[in-house]
Amino acid sequence: MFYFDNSATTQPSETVMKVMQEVAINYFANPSSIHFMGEKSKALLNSARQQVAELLDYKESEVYFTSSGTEANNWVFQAVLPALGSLHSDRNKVIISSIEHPSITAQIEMIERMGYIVELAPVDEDGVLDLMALAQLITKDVLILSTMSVNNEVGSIQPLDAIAELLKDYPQIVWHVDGIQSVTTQFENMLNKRIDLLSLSSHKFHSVRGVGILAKRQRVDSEPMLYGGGQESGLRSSTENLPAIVATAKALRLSKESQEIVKPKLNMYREKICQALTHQNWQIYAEQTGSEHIICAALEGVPGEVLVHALAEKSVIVSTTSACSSRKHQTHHTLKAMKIPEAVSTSAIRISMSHTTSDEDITALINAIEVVSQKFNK
Amino acid sequence: MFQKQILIHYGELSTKGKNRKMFQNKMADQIRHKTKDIEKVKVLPHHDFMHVKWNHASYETIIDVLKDVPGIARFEPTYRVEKTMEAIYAKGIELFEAQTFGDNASFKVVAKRSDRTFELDSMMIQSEVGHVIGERFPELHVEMKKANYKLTVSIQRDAAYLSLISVQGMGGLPYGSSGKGMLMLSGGFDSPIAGYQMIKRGLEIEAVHFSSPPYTSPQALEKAKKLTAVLSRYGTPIKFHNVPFAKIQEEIKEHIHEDFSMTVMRRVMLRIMDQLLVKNKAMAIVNGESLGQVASQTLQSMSVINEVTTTPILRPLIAVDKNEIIAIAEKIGTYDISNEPYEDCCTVFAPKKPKTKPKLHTIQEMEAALNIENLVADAVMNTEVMTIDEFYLKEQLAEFDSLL
Repeated sequence: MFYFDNSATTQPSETVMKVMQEVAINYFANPSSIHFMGEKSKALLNSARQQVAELLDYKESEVYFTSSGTEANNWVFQAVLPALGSLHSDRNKVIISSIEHPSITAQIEMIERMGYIVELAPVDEDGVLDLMALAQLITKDVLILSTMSVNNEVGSIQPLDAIAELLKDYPQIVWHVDGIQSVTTQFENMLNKRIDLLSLSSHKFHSVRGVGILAKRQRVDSEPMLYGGGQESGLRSSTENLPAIVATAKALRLSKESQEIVKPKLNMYREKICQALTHQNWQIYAEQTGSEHIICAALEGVPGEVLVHALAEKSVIVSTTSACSSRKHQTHHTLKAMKIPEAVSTSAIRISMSHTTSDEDITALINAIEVVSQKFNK
Repeated sequence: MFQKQILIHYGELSTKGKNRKMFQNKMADQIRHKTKDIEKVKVLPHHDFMHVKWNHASYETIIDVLKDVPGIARFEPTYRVEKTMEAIYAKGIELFEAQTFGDNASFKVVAKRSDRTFELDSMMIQSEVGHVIGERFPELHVEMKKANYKLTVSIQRDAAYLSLISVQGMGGLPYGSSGKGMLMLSGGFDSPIAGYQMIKRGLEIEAVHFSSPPYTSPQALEKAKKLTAVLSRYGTPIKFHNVPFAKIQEEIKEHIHEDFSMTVMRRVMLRIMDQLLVKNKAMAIVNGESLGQVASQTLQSMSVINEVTTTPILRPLIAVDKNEIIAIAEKIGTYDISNEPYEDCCTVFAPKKPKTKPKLHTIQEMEAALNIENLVADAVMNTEVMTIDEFYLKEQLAEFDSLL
């Protein structure tokens, strides 16, 4: 198999799985227990938290573990927004970029029911936030602005430094960044100091599923996301998933440390793949603005699902634009926001890589692209 | 020949007359000890100053060590260059380049020539080097009396030596030069700071912790050990005495009225301290008492508690406010440890309203109900001793390294 669906999920690395098993067996005590075994678990949990904080440039007390990226994204509007709203009754607006993941966009209705006005920030034809339009939306009425670091469907890298600049005169606006697709090659992009809330998801960087991270600056208030035994500083009760948390802290470190090697490597692969696609008359989206590890492309006239299955016959695994919506036959959310006509966007697929992608994978992919394209180009 | 060196200026030590040699040697020993895992460092005590010389480690590494050595007033990193004016200019410029100048900053050059064969004399070196620096840094002006920056150029037989900045040291007296004391170390904020203050004043410290398992938690004991590890950074590895105190607490609870239990408890602790002092050849008890802070720290309480011993009890924090204590704790790194929520005395034994003005004769009468001599002897005999160094904290976390 030649796996090119790393933006959907990555393969847990062996090192990380070993750690997970070791922690599960040797540090199984509940970190909340006061006996020494519990203390050990707690010390390990704190060390993991400290490490994540250092990697992301937050304080240890600003890092919260959740069960998924989706939960971290839900936290922003289900727990932070109500806290901000009750503190600042004079502000009632929320800005959400039009290309957010469903774990953000599916909350819009709920946010509106809570009495807030939601405005969508448009993107250009490359899937990059339109800064002029965003500047128009940013007013003193805004409570939260939610953007991405790297888009999950087309890979467009968002201009976070420029957004920080736009927010300069609005220190009261809480800025959330979904960094879930940013870890593989765009780690630096999500480290802007102005970001108030940052979401990550463990299984996008070779850890196991089941851990999300919300980094939340101390100055940002939040109501509890889950009520109960008071774990995660009282904001997210649940017995901590220590084995997966420690594994995730390790995986995050390995990802950050390998950026310098992975970035140029995937960039080279991306260029090769784009060349092959262009050669076969594919339309590539966000070609210039995309992250090194994601390529979104369409072969007009052939439905995306058909392309996915045809490539799978050649043992090449890709997906239609996002795994979460793949099976639902929804229109392609990001491509729609980029104003790509539906006639073409239904033909789009996503090729996504990670540091495990090899020369061999690329050769297989390029061959498969040629064969499949020629079949349909006839 | 060593490539790098630092010139150390002593603090009060310069006034110590006959004992000076001992003081210098104590400091030299400590520096050797603290650098032994870095590289072989040559420490050369002279009458008015001390040289530390080495080859490989960065200046920053050695500076970090010297900053925490008691008895050093200040020290100057000194750079060795070839004995040519070109090399001297180049190094001088490099040293100034590393500085950020304030407004209207001034400088001067001081040259010394012990090698008379060198082409230029001191005056000429000063003016030539001063000229080069002035040209390169037009924002600086020359000021002879109160220059912000003083570049020292010393021409010696083997090479030229330059120094520009002077780093503030810890002050005080060399570790151990004032003898040895035993510190009553709880897990709180005060006692580690009391220890730090006495270390700074040249007292060698051994730590004594009273633990009452199972009434007190292993974490509370661990806390005291971690605090000891922080203190050892300013001295040499510290002996940690863990006194088993539960039995005594139980006896006191059973036989002494709760209102007086604290006073009796403190008196028993001092008796134990006295015996530990003899055993370990120490001459003073150190504690973190601050006048009026709690019931045991009123003058009346202190005089009744103190009555059991004639040993000097050093209380460096007696006149120090809590916020000043906290400030030092934050500076030296004991704050976060002391702030951990584990208590070293159990609520089971904590009296609701301890007497703030106990009467000596009442206390003495009550103590008759206890077999104090045996209790003290037992506690001393069963005291566990270990040595804790500054790496103790890291070792605790090292087991997680492979996981993370």
